[in-house]
Amino acid sequence: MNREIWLRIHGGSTHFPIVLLAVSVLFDLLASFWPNESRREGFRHAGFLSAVLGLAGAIVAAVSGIAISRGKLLGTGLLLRHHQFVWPGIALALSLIVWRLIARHRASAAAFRFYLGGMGIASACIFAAAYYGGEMVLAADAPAQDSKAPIALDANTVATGRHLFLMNCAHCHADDATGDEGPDLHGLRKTDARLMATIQNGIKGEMPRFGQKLNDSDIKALIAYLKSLRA
Amino acid sequence: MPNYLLHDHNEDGVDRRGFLKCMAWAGTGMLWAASGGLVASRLLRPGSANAAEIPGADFTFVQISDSHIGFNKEANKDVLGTFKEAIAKINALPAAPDFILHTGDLSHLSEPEEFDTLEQLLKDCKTKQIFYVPGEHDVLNDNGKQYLERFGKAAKGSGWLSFDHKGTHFVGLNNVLNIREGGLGVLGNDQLAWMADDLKAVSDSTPVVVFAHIPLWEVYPQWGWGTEDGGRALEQLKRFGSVTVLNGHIHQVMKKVEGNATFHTALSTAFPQPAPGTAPKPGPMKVDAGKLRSVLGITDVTYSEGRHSLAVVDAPLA
Repeated sequence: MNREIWLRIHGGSTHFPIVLLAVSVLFDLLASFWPNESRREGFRHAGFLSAVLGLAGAIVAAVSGIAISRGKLLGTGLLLRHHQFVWPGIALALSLIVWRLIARHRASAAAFRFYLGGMGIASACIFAAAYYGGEMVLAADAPAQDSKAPIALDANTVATGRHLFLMNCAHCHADDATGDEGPDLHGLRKTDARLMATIQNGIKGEMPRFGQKLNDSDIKALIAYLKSLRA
Repeated sequence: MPNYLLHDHNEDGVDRRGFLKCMAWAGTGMLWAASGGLVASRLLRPGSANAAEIPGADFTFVQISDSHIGFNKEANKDVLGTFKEAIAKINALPAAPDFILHTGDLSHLSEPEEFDTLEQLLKDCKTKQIFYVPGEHDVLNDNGKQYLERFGKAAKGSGWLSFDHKGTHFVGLNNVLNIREGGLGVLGNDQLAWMADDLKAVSDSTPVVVFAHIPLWEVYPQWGWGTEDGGRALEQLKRFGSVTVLNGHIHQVMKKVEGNATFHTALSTAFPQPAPGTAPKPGPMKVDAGKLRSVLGITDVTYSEGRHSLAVVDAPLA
């Protein structure tokens, strides 16, 4: 499946665990202190349902995230930080929800408080992971100079872009852009603004920053060349 | 594979199979010893306690190359570990080398933290005098500005330097700026003019060692393994009785002797690359984890004024 689609799935699904695990903890806390028994029961159901939906979203987010990072379970830089919170958070939430499913009403009050504490930690991990995920998005979408200006695809610009590509990019992406240490660049579907931001800012631990070396016009020519590879 | 010559058509001590075996090595560093007009080298293999004991040597120095701090792909996920091992090997030499030459690609992405890490790791090296030339990975994002600020303070131009040590003249060159399409290195007119001026005061009988990242000779131009105007630099060196050219970039040992000059490319401390033409394109080459270190060994390169040929004895350890 196209990486862009995985990015969208990840972006959508990732908000479920962020919100629902925290909401689940809130409902369960209310269930512990609310004076009315029938309400307490309602809050307990809501808490459990929120936790299950949050976990389901977390699993979809995890699968799409692995697809985006091409199988990297740790990575480097911000991705590493993201993963350092994602995996413990999901593992903890999964364990506790399975326990709750098995224990149901048989759990003692002390065990349920232990569960609540664990879910609080899992929710905090997911929040921390979301923070680093947001940092990655901000890094990728950093405003690029004149990013909205249309990029010409005339033969001269493409030729200039190819020259710049061979001088700066071919070392990792290969002369024919089919990829080597870096990925295959044929068929890229990123927006011009995103391509420009990536070339300017690089990818932490993966790709150099070219913002100081190449000017706006150079990068536009490079993008024109990359777009010419889509055909 | 037997370790004896099957075919020695050129009478240079190297046959095709031995040459390929030599190129398949991966290692840590190269110890060089100079004695008058003779320059010899050997790889730093584990347990080679007498690596620095080259009889009659006036001084020794170590060449390390292509540390690629920051590289994290399959070919070697622990470049810091292998770099530390290289430093440990240097520290373990019974006779401390006078200095170290790093022939470029200190970092992988020219990131400040990669340079920081390299500097931190080198603090553990007993030999403190280190001379650098940049690799293309050190000048990726700012045309070498940061590299020069950190490692080229004493250098001229874009990172050229020269110095004399115990009667031998050393010249460090930068051939990684303005790399040509296809990857060939370029020295440029300014650097070549500086080099000509620098060599004016050097007598013909002075041994000269030239070091740069990309090979100055045409190793395999199809992969950009050569320097477009390297011939112009070598022309300037023809009048000298003993010339040794040390390079990195290709992450494998290759040797050549031509007239008065001995050419040698060093192994990387990070990862190997395929031998020329044995893969669709150059790049990090994954080998068995055990092999990465087990392919260390010894190679002696001897050059003498009286015998203008290169004697090479290479044998894989495993």
